[in-house]
Amino acid sequence: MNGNHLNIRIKFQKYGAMKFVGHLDIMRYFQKAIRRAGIPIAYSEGYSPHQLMSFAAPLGVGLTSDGEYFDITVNALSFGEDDIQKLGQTMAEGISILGYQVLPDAVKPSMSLVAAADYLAYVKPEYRGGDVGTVFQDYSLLQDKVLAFYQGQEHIPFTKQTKKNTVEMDLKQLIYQMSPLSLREEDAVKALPLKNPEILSFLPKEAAGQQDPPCGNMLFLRLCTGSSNNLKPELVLEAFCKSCGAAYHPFCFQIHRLEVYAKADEIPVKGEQAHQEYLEYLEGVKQDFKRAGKAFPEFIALGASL
Amino acid sequence: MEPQPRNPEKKERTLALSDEILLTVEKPARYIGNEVNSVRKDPAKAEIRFAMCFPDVYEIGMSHLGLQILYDMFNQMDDVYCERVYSPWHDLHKIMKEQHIPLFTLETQSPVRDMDFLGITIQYEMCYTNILQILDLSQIPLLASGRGEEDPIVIGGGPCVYNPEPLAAFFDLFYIGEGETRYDDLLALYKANRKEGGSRQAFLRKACQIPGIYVPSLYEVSYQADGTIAAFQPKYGDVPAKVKKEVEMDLTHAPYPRKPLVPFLKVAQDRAVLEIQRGCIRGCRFCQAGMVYRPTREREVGTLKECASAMLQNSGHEEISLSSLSSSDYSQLAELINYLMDFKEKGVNISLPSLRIDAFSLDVMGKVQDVRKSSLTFAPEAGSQRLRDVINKGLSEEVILEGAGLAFEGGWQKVKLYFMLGLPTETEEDRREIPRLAEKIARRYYEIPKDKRKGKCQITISTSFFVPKPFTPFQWAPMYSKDEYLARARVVNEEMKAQLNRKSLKYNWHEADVTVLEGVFARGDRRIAPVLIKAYEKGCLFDAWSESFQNGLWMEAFQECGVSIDFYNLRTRDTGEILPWDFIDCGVSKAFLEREWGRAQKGEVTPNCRQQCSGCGAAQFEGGVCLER
Repeated sequence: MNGNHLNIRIKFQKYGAMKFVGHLDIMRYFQKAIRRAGIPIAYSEGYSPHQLMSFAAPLGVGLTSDGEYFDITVNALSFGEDDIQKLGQTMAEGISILGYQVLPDAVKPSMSLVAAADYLAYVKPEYRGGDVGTVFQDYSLLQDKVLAFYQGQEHIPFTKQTKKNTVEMDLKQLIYQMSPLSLREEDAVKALPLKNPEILSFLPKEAAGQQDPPCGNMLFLRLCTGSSNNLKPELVLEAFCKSCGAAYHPFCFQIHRLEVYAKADEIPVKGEQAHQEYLEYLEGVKQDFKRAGKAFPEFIALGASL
Repeated sequence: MEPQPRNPEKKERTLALSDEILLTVEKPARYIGNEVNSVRKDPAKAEIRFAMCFPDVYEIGMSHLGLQILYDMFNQMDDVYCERVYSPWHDLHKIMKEQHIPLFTLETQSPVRDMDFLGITIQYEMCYTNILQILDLSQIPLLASGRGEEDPIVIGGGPCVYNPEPLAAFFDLFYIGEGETRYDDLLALYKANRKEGGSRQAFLRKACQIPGIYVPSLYEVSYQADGTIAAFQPKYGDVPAKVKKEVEMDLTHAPYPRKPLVPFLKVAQDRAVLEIQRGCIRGCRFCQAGMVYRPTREREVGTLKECASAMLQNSGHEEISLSSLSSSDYSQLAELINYLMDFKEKGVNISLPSLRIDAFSLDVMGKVQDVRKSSLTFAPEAGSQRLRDVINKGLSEEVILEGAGLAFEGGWQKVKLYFMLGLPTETEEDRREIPRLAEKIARRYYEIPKDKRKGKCQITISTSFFVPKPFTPFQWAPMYSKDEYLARARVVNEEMKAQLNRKSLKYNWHEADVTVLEGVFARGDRRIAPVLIKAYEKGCLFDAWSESFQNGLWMEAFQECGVSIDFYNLRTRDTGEILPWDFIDCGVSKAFLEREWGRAQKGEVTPNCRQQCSGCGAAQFEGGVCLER
């Protein structure tokens, strides 16, 4: 690789019918989209070269998201709004490009940085008559159930069924945050550590902004995510339903990913010099936080900088 | 990176299937539409809504070029909205049947039964039960005679309609020949008929006057005591007795999609496809495409370059392939391939069709593929020169050995050989010649000094069983029983084991069950329809998929319907017999086919169209190879 390249991180949204397109197909989709947009992406060496592109955290089929990321390497000295617009224009309905970031040369692939992800879960309309719907309909009931399930237990044992065997897990340490969220209380939204005030944009139109939304209340989850340790939101919901004594149905929740995070004090670059430089920068930032009387955050969104 | 809310103005579609169903079935992306370059129109503004169907699973149907051409052509028309339909896979089929969910189009997710037309392309015989599935799930009566004014007009097209008779009961009309030419007329007629309040029947009666359109309900067939056809004739005096196939004579200016659909799923043909020519000059006597697509017509190379560039730009595909019969006969092939090579730098692979092996093709292949991994393909079709003369396959042993030798010296090690078993006049000796030819190729490889070659060569022989097709010189030829086919394959296998270099040879052959059914459907008549219905009712579906094919159920269906497979397959038809497809004029005369059938039996070779005109009849279209020079 010569000096004429840039690493770019692109953020996108996935919604509507696109939630049925799986992760591998989304990767293929973007490979073709990048060509349609004429972005000068770099290719690997060898007989069958492939685009230098890597995705941060696979999203399960059926989930929607406001926080998907992938990194590309381009053979160009600059990359800007024009390129992003061209890419945006080739999108199918259900995928929107939200933004981009030019990364340092020595950046680690985003996949290796992913540490956590935020999700919202709500009960789909056709399941609101059932047990789960009852729990979610009443905010204070939901609040009690979450308290009992999350705050009230030191361990949350869960037996995970895999194809071959069963695995005993403790969900507690992998759930970083779990709280009920009422659509009726704007304050509740503000209370959550969310950067994005548009979190409700994914909801069905009839629900957004109404006094008494038919979708009831939701759960907010921040979960351990990444290649070494990963907790799927479905598992948490299944365990939660069980603890509420409600029958869990795999299709009863719509799950929406809000954001994907790296650890704020993780060094996101490789190479000794880059590492050292970043370490110094990080120290500076930490002191800035201290001076400003703010706590240094545990996580930082993949598309943000400190 | 500040996230933006998505555009609330844009109206989202409602999918026909619930989340629960879509998350239960395999590959839900098969059923959601929304692909890049799929066409969105306001259905309320479309005068005609046309559902275009490939009756197989999405990944197969989406790989078909003909459907993409028609989809693009129809949607260029302002007042037409063409949408796509494919066969729901077994899992969804079951759910739709249980829950009475009507089959829907991908674009607007509307019920197929609400369309004005349902066009079904019929590419191979083993999709016939899937045609019934499409009608059944659409909640359209299977039999055309049972349909009312509210039902779509069901049209069949594609190569299998050169004998539409086994399917005649299920279709309101068939479009015979190439789709580019007559849809304007047909749709104009439909609009006019609707305007004047004309009935479905009135439309069909007028449609039969359009060239290429066959309305089966307007013809009747009677049979003789021996089961052969006594007469096939129009029911009314004004209905044409013959239906002539349609041909697009100006391929260069004919519609061709510059914006191919880009599926989300990995489909069978995940690439841009460039149709360089239609038809074939070679005249192999077993080949239906080589007869019915006459005369051979080329697309101008300039147009092809423009298409290739636009398609790659608009799709983002990383591969492009050429489509045609006998691509090496395309006169501007070198120029085209050299042009495509420039896309290599942009990371675009070129997938070559099987070219005649010579210095040029080896040079090109060496540039676009990994020589060590790729293989050479030869299709001698028959093992002996005698039998190759019978089938008019002008590929000689010398040419094969020379090509293979050239390739081996260039670093290739793998060769694939394709043959057919069960060809007319075939003897045991002919069958034994198949492995012997492979052996000669292997020997040619081992003639290369040890230090100049890398290990062993790998010669793979594949045989399929020959199925005689309508409008070929072999349309009168007999087929054989399943046991006889398998016995023939065993001879090849036995002979292969006797070869010196047997460790470098590999032999694959197909099951014979499907061949037997293909034979019946290819040359069957209207009496086959009840068997198709019976088999579908018993659960036959996706018969082209070996994992779905249930021969036992088919055999039951034939038996219960009292239809004899042997009648259709084992007879040598007399050239005087009225064949079910005789009412179609495919442009090649019956006299020519008969002449070729006679020459075949004498082992006489007929020159190709560029060497010498053999007077097949295609010259009446006044174009293509017939007017070269």
